[in-house]
This record gives sequence, C-alpha cells and structure tokens, in this order.
Amino acid sequence: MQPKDPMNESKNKIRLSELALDIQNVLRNRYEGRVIWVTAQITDVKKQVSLKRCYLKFIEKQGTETLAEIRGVFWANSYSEIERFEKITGKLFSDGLEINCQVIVKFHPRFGLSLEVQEIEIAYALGSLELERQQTLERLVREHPTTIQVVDGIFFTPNKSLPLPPVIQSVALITALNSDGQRDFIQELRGNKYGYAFEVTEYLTQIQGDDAHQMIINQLEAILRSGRAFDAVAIVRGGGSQTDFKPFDQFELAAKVAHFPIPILTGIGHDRNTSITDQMARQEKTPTKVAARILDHNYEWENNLLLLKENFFQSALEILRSAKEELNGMSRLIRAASPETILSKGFTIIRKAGKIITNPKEIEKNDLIGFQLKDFDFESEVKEKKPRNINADL
Amino acid sequence: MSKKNELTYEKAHYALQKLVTEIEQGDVPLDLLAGKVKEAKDLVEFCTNRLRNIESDVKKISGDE
Repeated sequence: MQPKDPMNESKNKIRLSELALDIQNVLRNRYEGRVIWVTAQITDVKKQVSLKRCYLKFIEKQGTETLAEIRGVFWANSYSEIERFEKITGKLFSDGLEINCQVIVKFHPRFGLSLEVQEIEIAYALGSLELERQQTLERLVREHPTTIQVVDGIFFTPNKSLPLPPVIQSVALITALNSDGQRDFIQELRGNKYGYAFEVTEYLTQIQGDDAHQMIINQLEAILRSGRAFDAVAIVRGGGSQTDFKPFDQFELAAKVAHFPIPILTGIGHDRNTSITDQMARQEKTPTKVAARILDHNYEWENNLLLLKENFFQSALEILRSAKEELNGMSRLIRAASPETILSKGFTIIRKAGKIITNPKEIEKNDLIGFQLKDFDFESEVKEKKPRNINADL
Repeated sequence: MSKKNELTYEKAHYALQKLVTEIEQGDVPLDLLAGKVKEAKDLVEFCTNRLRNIESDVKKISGDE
C-alpha cells in the first residue's frame, strides 16, 4: 500500500494538476542535480534576442523517422552560449545543426517537458563543422581534378592564378545592402590618400541564410552577363558576431569562385576561420583590407612607374655624360696631334721643292730647303750633312 | 663631304673614331695631317653640339612632370 501515491488512490479522484505535480516530482527526484550531456539535432529554433531567450526542439532521427523529440530552451542565464557558439564557429545557431549540450530536465505542470540548456560543447560543434568542411574541400578537388589542386594545404585554383591587372580601377562589389562591409569597403576606396579614382558597381545580395550562396552565385553570373571588363570582383561582408559562414562553405559557391574568369578578392570578415570560398580566391580578412590591398596594388604600379622614369632619365644622362667624356678625350688627342701644337714645341717642318720631307736621305749637302717654325717660313741651304750620334744627346 | 645634310651623331662619331685612330697610329702623312685635324675638329664640334641639344631636350622632358 502506498497511500501517498495518487496513482493508486481511488479511481476518478485525481486532478490533472495533481498528476502533473506528481510527474514533476518523479522527474525532479530522478534528474535533479544531475549533469546530463545530450547530443541531438536542433530544429524550430526561435530566438528572442531582446529577451535573451531561445526556444527550440531537440530531435533524433533515423532515416526519415523521428525517434525522439523534446522541447528545449535557453534562458537569459545561458543565452550567451548561443552568442559564443556563433562567434567561435562562424555558424548561425539555426535549424539542422547537431549540437552536444548540457541540459537540465524540467517538467512544468502547464508547459510540460523541456530541456533547459546550460552549456553548448563548442569543440563538438567545431569538430563536426570541420569534418563537413574537409568533405567539401575533398569533393572540390575530386570533381575538378584538373583545375583545383592542393599543395601543402594551400589550394590552387584558376581564379587565384589569374593575374591582377597592373591597375585596378573598375570593381564589381558583391555585398549586402546597407552592410558594414559595403560601407567600409567603399569608404576605404573612395577616401584613399593617393587620389586614385575607382568605379565600383554594386551587386547586392543576401549574405546570410539558406539561399545566400545561390544568390551570390546569381550575382557572379550577372557580372559576367553585364559584359563589362571589370578588373576585379570583391566579395565582402562586415564582421560582427551575428555571422554565418555557411553560405561561403557551400560546394557550389566555392566551385563557382574557383573557376570565375575575373580575379576575386574576398573579405568575409571572420577572425578564426577561413571559409572554403576564401580558399578558392584571394583572401583578406575584412572589407577594409580588401580595399587596402587594391590601393597597395595600384600604388606599387605607380611607384614602379616613377622609379622607371627616374632610372630612364638617369641612364639617358649617363649615356650623354660618357659620350661627352669620350669626345673630350678625342678632342685632346686631336689637339695634341695638330701641326700648330707640334710647331709650338719647337719642332719644324722641312720642305724641299714644296714637298714635306720626313726622310733625311732626301736631303743632301747644298740642297735648298725651306723650313717652318711657328709663324715663320725660312729658306736655307744645307751646308753639311752628317749622321747624328744619338748617344751624345743623352 | 656632300652628304652634310645627312650627318648624324652616329656617322660623325664613327668618322671621328676612324680619324683619331689614324692620327694616334701615326698613319697620316704630314701633308694631310692639318686637313685631317681640321676635319676631326669639325666633327668634334658637331658631336658636342648634338650632345648639348640632346641633353637639353632630355632635361626638358624629364622636368615635364
């Protein structure tokens, strides 16, 4: 006999609230103070951000059959777990995720059974995300063996190996309307200190949510359809905590980016993770950094040009200088060889019958010869001819 | 020389080098020396003027930012 058990009391006398309270007691006795970690898929996630509350359902499925389903809730004391989860994983806390979390089993006489979440295991979430990422990366390489290659963990794609044009001026910007990313990128580019001019054409899209990756693909296609010769495409998204990386880890978007015929720069703005899309293109961390990279690129070109100009003129002047030096040398040589110079040193020019004589054999005793010394001509007769004793002079 | 109009720095420089080599090597008969020296001096003057013009042109262009 257990008189305190309402189930065993006489029929028809039990009230619903009594039953509910009893169930509550039983569950409390069973679960109070116990730390329970449960792994389940989440669905019907409803966040009430202003109240710092989140309602959801935990489910477990086998194929299409649902094996179990229990309501769950985050109260204000644990709501920060959702924010932490989103910040670290870069994933939106949303339907379809599988999480491992610590819960308290609660039964309310009116609202029934629920699991109050205390903590989410981030490592588990990261692990399953990483697994998913790895599978997507492997699939990219497997399905595009001739174009996408990985060497030492670095991905090589056709898009990444497209050379950037020497100067980037015309940019197609894929971003969300009125987003931080849009504003940061444009501000950095327009307000550049070099005074470079840019033509930015915006292709607005959603950047979060289930369809975001398809919308980004659509905008990439729109860029091609426009037929305009863009120098580069920038895909940017502002940082912040409410970020979802999922669209940028989608196979279809990553494959599209990898093969896109215009160089793509990404600034998807996440501190810890690199999305798969980032790995297929030229990655910067933030929209501002993408703009800064474009500016640096252009500055480098201008700087090289100035250097080239400077070197060119220096070389031209150097050629002239050495040509002048050579001329001076030749000029000195000519001056030294000129008859005036020779005569001024005391040498004479001897002529016989008007012909310059350089060979002593052509002059004999009694010959009439003329000689020139500086500005005077002399006429004379040879009185004597005898060989010189060269040694006597020395 | 009848081709005076066509004289360029290159041609003048070439002719000058040839003359200088001849003079240096003492190949020039004394009778012809004065003429050769005169010719060489004219070539030097031509080349110097050409260089001055080119230099001032280059400086003018490099100053044009």
